Amino acid sequence: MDIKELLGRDFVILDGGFGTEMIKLGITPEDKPELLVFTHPELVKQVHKSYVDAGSDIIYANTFNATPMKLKDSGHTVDEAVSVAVKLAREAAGDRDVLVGLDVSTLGQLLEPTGTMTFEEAYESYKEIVIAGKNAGVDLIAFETFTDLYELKAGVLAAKENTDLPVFATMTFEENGRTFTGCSVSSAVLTLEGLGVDAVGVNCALGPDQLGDIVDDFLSWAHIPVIMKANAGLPDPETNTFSISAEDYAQMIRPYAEKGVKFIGGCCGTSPQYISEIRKAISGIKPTAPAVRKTPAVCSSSVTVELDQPRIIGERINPTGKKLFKEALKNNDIDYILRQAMEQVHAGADILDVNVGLPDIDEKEMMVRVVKAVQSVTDTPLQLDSTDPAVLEAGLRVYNGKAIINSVNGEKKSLEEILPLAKKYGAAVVGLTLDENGIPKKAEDRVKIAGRILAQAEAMGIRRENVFIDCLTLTASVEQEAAAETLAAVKYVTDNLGLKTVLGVSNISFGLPNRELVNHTFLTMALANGLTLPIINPNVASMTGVVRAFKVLNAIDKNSAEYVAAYNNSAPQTTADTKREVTLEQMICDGMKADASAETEKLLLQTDATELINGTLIPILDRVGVKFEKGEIFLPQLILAADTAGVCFDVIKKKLSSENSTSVSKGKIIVATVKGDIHDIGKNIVKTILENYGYDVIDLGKDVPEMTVVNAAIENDVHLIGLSALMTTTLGAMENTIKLLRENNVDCKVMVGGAVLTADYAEKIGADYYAKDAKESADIAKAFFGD
Amino acid sequence: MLYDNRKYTDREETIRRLGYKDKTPDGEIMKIIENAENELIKAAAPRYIHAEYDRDNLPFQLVGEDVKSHLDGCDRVILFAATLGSGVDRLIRSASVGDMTGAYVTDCIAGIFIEKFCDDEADTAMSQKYSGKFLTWRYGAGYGDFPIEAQKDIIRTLDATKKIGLSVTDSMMLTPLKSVTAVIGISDNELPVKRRGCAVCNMNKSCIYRKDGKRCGY
Repeated sequence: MDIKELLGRDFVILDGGFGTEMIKLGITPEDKPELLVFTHPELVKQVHKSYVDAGSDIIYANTFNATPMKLKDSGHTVDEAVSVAVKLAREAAGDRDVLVGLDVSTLGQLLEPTGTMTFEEAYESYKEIVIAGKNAGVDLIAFETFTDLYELKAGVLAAKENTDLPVFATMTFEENGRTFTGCSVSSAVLTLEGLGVDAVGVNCALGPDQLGDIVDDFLSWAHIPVIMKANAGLPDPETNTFSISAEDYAQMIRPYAEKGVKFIGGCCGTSPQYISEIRKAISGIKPTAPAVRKTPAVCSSSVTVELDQPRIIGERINPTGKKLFKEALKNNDIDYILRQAMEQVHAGADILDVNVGLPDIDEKEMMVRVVKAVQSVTDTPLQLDSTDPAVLEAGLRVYNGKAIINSVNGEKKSLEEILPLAKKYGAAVVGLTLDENGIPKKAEDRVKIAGRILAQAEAMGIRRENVFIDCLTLTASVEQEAAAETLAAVKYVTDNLGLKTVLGVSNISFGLPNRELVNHTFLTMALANGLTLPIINPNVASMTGVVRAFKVLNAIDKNSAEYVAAYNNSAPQTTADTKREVTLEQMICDGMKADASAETEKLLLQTDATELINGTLIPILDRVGVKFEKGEIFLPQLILAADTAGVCFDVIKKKLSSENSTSVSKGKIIVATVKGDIHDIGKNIVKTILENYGYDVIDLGKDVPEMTVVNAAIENDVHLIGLSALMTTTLGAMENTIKLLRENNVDCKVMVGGAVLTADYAEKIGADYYAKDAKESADIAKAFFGD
Repeated sequence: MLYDNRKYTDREETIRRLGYKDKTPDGEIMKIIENAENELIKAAAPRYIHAEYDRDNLPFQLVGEDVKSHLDGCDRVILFAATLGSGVDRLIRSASVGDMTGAYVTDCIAGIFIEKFCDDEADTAMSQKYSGKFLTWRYGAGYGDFPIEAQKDIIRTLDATKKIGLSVTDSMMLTPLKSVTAVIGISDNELPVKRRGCAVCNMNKSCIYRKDGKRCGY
């Protein structure tokens, strides 16, 4: 028997609880679960055999805990643990027609960004496990009990890239339909199905009485078979029994079987008796095929964006034509990019396009960094945008969800390079209607290319709803008739090919005055012709407004709820009179960012930038600082003033950049939270304050390896370094970092701060300065660089 | 289990911990506090887990005189862990981009939130469960001479990573960040009243008062 034959059946019976069965046989918490195959092989085999006897078609070997981390000090390797476990399962199966699965679960450490384990490290651990499984001869790999989609993705990729085995993937949900990390059913299905798993579903935590909505959700999203392994209800910790009996459990399973759940087993608290009851209860049931939704969708791990209505793709993470963005990329200023991301999210972007292509940087490395950073601060799904397939692949790999690839086109080379990536990583893909011969003038020729891209994608196994077509916007001032052709193509692709379309809008107005007017008129026309995915700058209110109004007028935004929410609460316009009375200092102290930005622009018309900084901004911040020291204001106000002054600095920097003037930096400072330490709020406050005293801050982030600090100081020629540590356990890393800076003869002073530090200790570990708070770090910088 | 998150914010305490003592922050800061509370209520997914053991038969050794004296007169102990979930970490990270004031205020509110959750929700449930017995307060790893490494043992013993999504890094930082672990003693007899103080406080490693050698008086 093989998996193909099983997939042809109406139902496949899995096994049930393993740990709870072992406890019944006398195993205690002191018996390490990862070592049971060595310490109690007979009992392990006995449990397997009881499931085989009860009628399981597939049993999972006892490899749930066979991870490199858990086995580290056990004297056993993953390879040994897996091969012994699989051998025991095989022996239990005997000559019965039963498949043996490699059971794989979480590694025990949380992944980035919440934890410190990187995606790549998780991948390596899973690679070791799945290769061990392959060598041991398992029939399939079953990933179970995952709560973090990112970790599960690492595992599935490892399985897909290192074995040819079928892959099952189940996650554990709470009653609200989310996992601990906030992953939803739709995100799980879209991502895992995209990665090519063979079956997907839910296991553990809840009983069959609590899983109704969750399983329905799985059935409505999944094009592949659904797995269900529920607990036997709730445990009673005193007696170690569970609340739902085998008979009741089996009866509760019946409706799921009728609805089309194909793989059925049990989790904690279920026993072989449950399995044989299930077998009896579902025999003879003819399942109905679940109705799977057809709307295309993309997702992050917690947000699914269905393309059943216009959705805004924010275009601002892109260096093209943006000097400050280019500088940020060259200087590794990820924060600048994150600000672009958050600004667009707040403005109403549904999806963010990410393009970090610049000739003088390592685009691939930058794509990975930016994808990881952006997904750590927002759950808005991403569209990865590059002309280099290697860059796209690197980004798709580390993206936690189902992304859009921007883009493929009708050229043979592009189709051959890009479509396999969409297939492998389960991404949707934007097809540009151009080919070797350029952009066709006529709509019908663009539609032909769209058809070719679609055919090629489908031939490769990409479902048609995952192909979006970009009919291409040309510049109206150059080819006036072209606008109508683009719109006609959008309409044709929408109506006749049934595909969603994407359109970069703002190119239409190039070379014309009042571009915004042309842009939003064109956007309105395109939406009316069926456009779903406009790529726009969502920060331009009139553009986002068009999409919102369109949804109201097409009865998409029910009761105009979104529209009202977006505009009803907008702050009343400040009148010119009241504005005049408020000074920049008050604006900064009160956190009036928009006003402070406008006021700075105004002041720049009459004042030189350097003068504005040294004569106005810094003295304001100094006065704020003095008030803080005197206890007249408190830390939140100090940070608020710095945050707001930051907006003023951004205005000044933008002006200087447009004038090609020299930078206004008062000096460069590195800040870092030391290795092992992930609590970085203190460091971030310090950074905010320092930046707004006019220093260029290179933020190396948290959990920063010692040598990274050393190398960054040398590469960027920095002579003042700020290190932060929160815990006594990470002070050692701080001391080592200072030691390495000295050993490598880095010409620098080091200031340190953090909750557990004292001035004495700072001196003891060789720091030059101790900063008791963020304000003091600014004083130190001032003393160091001179006023 | 899902909780009513609105119960675990405390405006007065937030203002106090932000350093205002008895003063009232001005309008802008109050707006930031209110907004941070609302966001946190949306983002937090608080959970806790506990299990009871024989004091002399724990799967790991309790090291240190302080925790032993804390458990004086108790023959049973409860291992306890709680977390607000990774959504709160994300919320603070995301505010840190361009709104550091919001991030700082959220961090502070989250610290209060988890204490209040443990006090109001977990402690209440445990006192009901052990009614007729006497419980000590939650003694946190890393306090006094009770080594912070005990966090790893507590999490492993409770299987807290699987059950509530709480893990610990090699450098003994709890992830998600807004989390606690603790040991609680159970006794048949009334226990001498010990001051709760800093040991149970989530801020005990980063407290601005303790840093100056003072206490907040909580």
